[in-house]
Amino acid sequence: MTEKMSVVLFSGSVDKLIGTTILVGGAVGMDFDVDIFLQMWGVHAFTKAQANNENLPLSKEFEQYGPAITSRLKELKMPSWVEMLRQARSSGNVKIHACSTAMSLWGLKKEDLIDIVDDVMGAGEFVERSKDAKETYFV
Amino acid sequence: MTSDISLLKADKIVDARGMSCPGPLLAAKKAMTEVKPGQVLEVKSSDAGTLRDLPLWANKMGYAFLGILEESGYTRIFVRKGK
Repeated sequence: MTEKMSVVLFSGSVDKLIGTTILVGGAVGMDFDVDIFLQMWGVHAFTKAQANNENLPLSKEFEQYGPAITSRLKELKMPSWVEMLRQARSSGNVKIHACSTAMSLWGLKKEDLIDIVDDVMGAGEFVERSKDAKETYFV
Repeated sequence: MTSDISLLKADKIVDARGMSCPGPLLAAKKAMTEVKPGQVLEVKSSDAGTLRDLPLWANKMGYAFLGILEESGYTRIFVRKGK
């Protein structure tokens, strides 16, 4: 049976989006199926309006490092978190679900989100899907 | 099979130098779909994490990890498809 990893992505700050994306890529490399549940700021970051915004916020406590990190990421030629996630998704079985309550909170429809989001889901279903996950993370 | 990996001729080579983790691992996974059983994949990587990821990956997937060669600024990692 395929191993499964489950990630709740609550945050929409770019450093955590990058960290999550790297973790998901590693899981796909190791042949895990991955389910990601976007809540609150996670949903916000996956909107078409925000996902390609190069100035997404950093975690508050590290804000002063923003310019340094941005220029270092460019030096390393790191793709954006959306590109990295897209690559991970095309290399394995990654499903991205948006929390239905967050969708109402932001007044969003599925088509307001970028194309790598698979569906809108309730918390109950996500918890059911995650119950045989070997690893579960909350970001 | 030779025990001296410097004499190995890879059937497929992936140049993942400059890519950060997990880029080389994903590139290796993709490349392996084009490698036939018994053939050897070589991954060139400059990422430290990849050096530890790829042996684990090879083991997990039932491939044979053949070893690494240190070059200047990068390493060459050899994996054979099948035991």
